[in-house]
Amino acid sequence: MVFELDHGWEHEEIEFCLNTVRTAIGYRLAAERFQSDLRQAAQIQLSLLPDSPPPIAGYQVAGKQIPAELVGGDLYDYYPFDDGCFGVAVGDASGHGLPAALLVRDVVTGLRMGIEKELKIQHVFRKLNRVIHRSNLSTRFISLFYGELESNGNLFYINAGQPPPLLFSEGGIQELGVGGIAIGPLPETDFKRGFAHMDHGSLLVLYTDGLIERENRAGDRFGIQRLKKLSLKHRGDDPDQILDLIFDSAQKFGKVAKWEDDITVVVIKRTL
Amino acid sequence: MKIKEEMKSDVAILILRGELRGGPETTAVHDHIKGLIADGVTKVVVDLAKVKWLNSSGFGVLLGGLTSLRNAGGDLKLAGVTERVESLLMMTKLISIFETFETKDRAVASFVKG
Repeated sequence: MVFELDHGWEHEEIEFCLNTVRTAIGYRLAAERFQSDLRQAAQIQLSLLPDSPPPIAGYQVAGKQIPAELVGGDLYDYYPFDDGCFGVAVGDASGHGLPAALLVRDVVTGLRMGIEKELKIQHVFRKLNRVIHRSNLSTRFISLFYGELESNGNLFYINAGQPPPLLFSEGGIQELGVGGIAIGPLPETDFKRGFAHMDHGSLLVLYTDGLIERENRAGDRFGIQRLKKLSLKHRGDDPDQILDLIFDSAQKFGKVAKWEDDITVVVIKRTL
Repeated sequence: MKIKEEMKSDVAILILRGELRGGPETTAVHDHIKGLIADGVTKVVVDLAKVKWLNSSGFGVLLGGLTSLRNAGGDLKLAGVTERVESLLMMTKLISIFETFETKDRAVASFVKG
């Protein structure tokens, strides 16, 4: 670049101006590089989430996630097996943003490698806990629910610190809370396996705490009771519709455009 | 988030005020605990009575503090846990890791007994 200067400019003044411009451009380029890296991280994370639930005979499944930032700390995943059974996982890493997203990636990868039919899920959870505890900062942990549904409606699960999924059936509402502590804080921990049964027409709603902790301006929370009422009222609808209703309701309740925490919901209905 | 420190014998009481939702103010709590360990103080009570809300990042920092203190031969105990915070501790089952007390005085006394 060539330019001409009028009389009166001092050498130091010109140098100062040019340095200021150079620094500003440098910052701008660095910020753009960071944003680009973050967008790539978001793409990697999106690629880990299932595009759509696998077709499973006898069940309808719908899931959705809204991250609070460009990358999120929630996860959900499906694991179809050969014999018509399938697994479903919902989890929430402490914090949000990039550090939480990295922990989510570790857990999604670990579960996909570890989950196999007939393999005791307690063993997978214990191993996952050991690996996550060793590989993370002590401030990080992840709560995780994993359940395996059989074609006859039997549901085996472990709930490691997640808000208990809600099972709506003719008999009432059951909260699936059996399991253990969230994954990561302790070097060794045991997990109990819970059992439930999904009758024909019953509904299972899995969610992360971002949903029930969503606040309105008065400081009231969306809460578990509101979720129960909404799900009960629309129990006859398809999971896709129920999912949209839950997110719409939470959005309207908060009345602010931004979500303060990552929110994930998975709705499963037994149809046959 | 404001942190006020009191000493009772060899126990440090950290009185937190505000919200623990992540970010620099949350990290300040862990840094404060690390500072105490560097000064040789390994028994810490965190008083949450004036904390309106803490999320998973907040719990994470308390866990980090607990781990650092236990590694140094001490412990971290919680006091003034509100019903809402306790419900989150129950849900995540982190209640099995933290010792909780109604008041900071009881938490301090437990160090003397224990």
